[in-house]
Amino acid sequence: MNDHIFKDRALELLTIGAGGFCGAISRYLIAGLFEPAPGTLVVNVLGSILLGFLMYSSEYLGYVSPRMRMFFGIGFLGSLTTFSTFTVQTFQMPLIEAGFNIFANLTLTLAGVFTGRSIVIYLVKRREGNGI
Amino acid sequence: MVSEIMLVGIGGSIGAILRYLVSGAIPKVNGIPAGTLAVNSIGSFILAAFTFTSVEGTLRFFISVGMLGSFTTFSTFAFESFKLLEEGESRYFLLNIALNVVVCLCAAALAHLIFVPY
Repeated sequence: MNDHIFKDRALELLTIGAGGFCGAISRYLIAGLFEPAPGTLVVNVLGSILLGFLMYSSEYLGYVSPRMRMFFGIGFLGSLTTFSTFTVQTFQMPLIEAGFNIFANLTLTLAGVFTGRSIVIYLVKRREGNGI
Repeated sequence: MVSEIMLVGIGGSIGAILRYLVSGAIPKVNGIPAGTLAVNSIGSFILAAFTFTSVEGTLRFFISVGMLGSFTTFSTFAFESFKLLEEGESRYFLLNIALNVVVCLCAAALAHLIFVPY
């Protein structure tokens, strides 16, 4: 019995670790295409759109398996986006630029989640419209 | 280049697992998702410390880009904040955003105070 729980737990961590592996590499490659601060902004916004889509998909569109949520949501998208790099980059900027960077990251990631949610709602409506 | 990518990836997998364990151990405090706030501030402090002590090479890719980049998260923070707004908790929405930005910047300032000699 205990052995079973332990195996489940290990598999859970392995799933998140695999997602984190891919997410961190994607962040490194995508952010590397830009200057440091815009690169961080791009991965943060991209990750927020996709997380909004994933989370609201499981809420409105139906079944997204818990393992899928762990791999993509916690592992991949959690690691694709980063708060620590955003903080340190902001800290090293002149005051006005720092304020702008904070404003851009906050508004665009929130708009990103909203966009992901809007796509899901559009898909739900289309599905209902088709009577499927 | 390939080994850099592997270091980022391995660091990233460790960071993601640690984030899951640490943020999962901390419950919501008064409607504020304190787990995400905790990993973001701890990660910001450590990354600032490594940045100000100028860690270069292998360790930078593994720890700074991989592990600490993945230990902290912006997407979960944005989603949780958005969710608070959606649920009509606009005060907690603003408080959560203010706390994450202010506490993390203060953590970076603290690291600067400790690790950068005057």
